[in-house]
Amino acid sequence: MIKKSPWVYMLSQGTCNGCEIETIACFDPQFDVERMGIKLVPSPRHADVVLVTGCGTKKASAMAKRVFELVPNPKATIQIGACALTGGIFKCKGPRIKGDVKVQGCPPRPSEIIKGIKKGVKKCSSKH
Amino acid sequence: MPKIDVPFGPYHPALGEPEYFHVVVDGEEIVDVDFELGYNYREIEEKVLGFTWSKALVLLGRICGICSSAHTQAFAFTLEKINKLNVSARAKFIRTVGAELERIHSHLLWLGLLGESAGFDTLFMMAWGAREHALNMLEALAGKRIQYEYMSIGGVTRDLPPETVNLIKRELGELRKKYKDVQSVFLSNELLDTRLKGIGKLTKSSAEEFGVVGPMARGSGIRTDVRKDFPYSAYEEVSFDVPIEHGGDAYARALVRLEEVSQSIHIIYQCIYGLPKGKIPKYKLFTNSKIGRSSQIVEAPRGENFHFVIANKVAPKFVRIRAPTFANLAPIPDMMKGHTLADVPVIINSIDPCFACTDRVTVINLQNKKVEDVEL
Repeated sequence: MIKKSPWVYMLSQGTCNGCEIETIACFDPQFDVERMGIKLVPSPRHADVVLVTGCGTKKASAMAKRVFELVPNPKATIQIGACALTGGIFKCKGPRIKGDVKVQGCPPRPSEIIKGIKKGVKKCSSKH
Repeated sequence: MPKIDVPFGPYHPALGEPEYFHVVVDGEEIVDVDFELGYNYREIEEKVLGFTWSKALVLLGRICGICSSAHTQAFAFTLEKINKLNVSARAKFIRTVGAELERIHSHLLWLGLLGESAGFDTLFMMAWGAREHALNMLEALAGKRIQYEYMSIGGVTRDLPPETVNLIKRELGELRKKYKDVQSVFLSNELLDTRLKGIGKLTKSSAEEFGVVGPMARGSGIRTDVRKDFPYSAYEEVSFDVPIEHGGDAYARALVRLEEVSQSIHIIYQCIYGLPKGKIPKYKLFTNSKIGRSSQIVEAPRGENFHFVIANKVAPKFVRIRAPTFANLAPIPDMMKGHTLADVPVIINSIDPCFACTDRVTVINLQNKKVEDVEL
C-alpha cells in the first residue's frame, strides 16, 4: 500500500448527498487536501483509497459492490458517515461495504474525513 | 452509421450520486436518451410514518443534504397550518436567513461543479472558496455545516444572538467580495462561453409544456417564484428581484443562478438589519397534533418543493413529497438530442440535479422480489 500521495475514489451507495458534499469540500481552498498529495480520481482503477458513503439502498448496493471490486488491491477503505457505518437514520438493510477506518458523523466535518484518510493509509501500509 | 448505446452511470465521474442515463449516439451525435431513477430511494415516506413529529422533522431533513432547510420548512409549515400555530416574527426572519444561506451555498456548489464538468477547475476552486463563508454562517446559525437542524414545528430551535449577527455581517461582507470575483471570472471567460452558450436549449413553450420549475423555468423566460407568488416566512417584508433570462440554454440558467445569489445576499442583509427585537419563544417539543391535512410549497434552491401531510395524533399518517428536480428531469432527452457526447455532463449539471430529492418511489415485483423499471 502506498504511503504518500494516495489517490482517492468516492463511492456512494445511495445517500442524502451530505457526506458527498463534505468529502468534496475537503478539496476546496479552505481544507485543500491536495497540499498533502491526496487527489480525487474519477476512475476506480486509479485509486488507492476508497471513501464509501451511503446506507446501501436496494438498487445501488449491488452496483456499488461491483465498482468497489474494480479498485486494485492493496487498498484502504474508509467508511464515512452514520449511514455507511450502521444504515443511519434510514435503517437501510442492504449489504454495505465494510471499511478499515470508520469516520462518524451525520455528516462528518471535512477535517474528520481528512484525519480518516490519513489514518487509513497508515493502518493499511503497515498491514501490507 | 450504426447506433451505439453509451451507458452514462450509475457510477460516473460527472455524477456525484448513482443514477443511470442511457445515451444512444449516431457517430458523435446524440439521437436518444433515457434515464433510470431509484438508486437513492431510501423509503423515507414509509419510514416517517412510525416516527414522532420531532423525529420526522429530522428524517425529512435527510431527504437531501443540500436543501434540507427547504424540506424541514415545508413540513413544519404544513403542521403549523393544521394546528393553527403562530410563528413569531423573529423566528420567521431567522428561517428566511437560513433558507437564503442555503440558496447561496447550493448555487455556489452547483457553479463549482458546472465549472468542473466544463473542464474549468479554477471556477470550482473560487466558487467553493466563497461557499465556505456561507457554511461558516450556517454553522454559527444552526450549529452544523450541513444538515442544520435549526427548524422546529412552531418556530426555530435557536435564537440569533448579537454575536452571531456580527459574525454573519462580517462573513457576508467577505462572501460578497469573493463572489464578485467569481462573477467576473464566469462572465469574462471564453471557455465557458463556448461550452455553455447554445447548449441544452429549452424554449419557453416546451418549458411550459414540461412544467419545469425554479431557475430552470426562469432561464427559459417564465416568471415563477414561490417566494413572490405565495409568500411565506418573511418574504413579504423584504424586497428582492426575480431574475429572468430568455436564452433557455445552459448559460442562461447559469446567469439566473448567479443573479439569485446576489439577491440572496441582499435579502440576508435586510433580514439581519430588520430583525425584530426580543427573543424567540422557548423551544417546546411538539408531541400532539390535531387530526387534519394540509400542504405547502416553498422555494427550494432548485425550484418549488411540495409537501402534503395527513396528520394523526402523535405521528404522520401520510406524507407526499415532490421535489423540484423531478419536474426538471423530464425535458432532459429533448435538451440532449442533437448535441455531442461531451456535452452530456454539462447538460445534466445545468439543471442542477439532486437525485437524492428525486428518488421517491421504486417498483418492486413481489413475486420475484426484483426491482422493476417503469416506462415514462
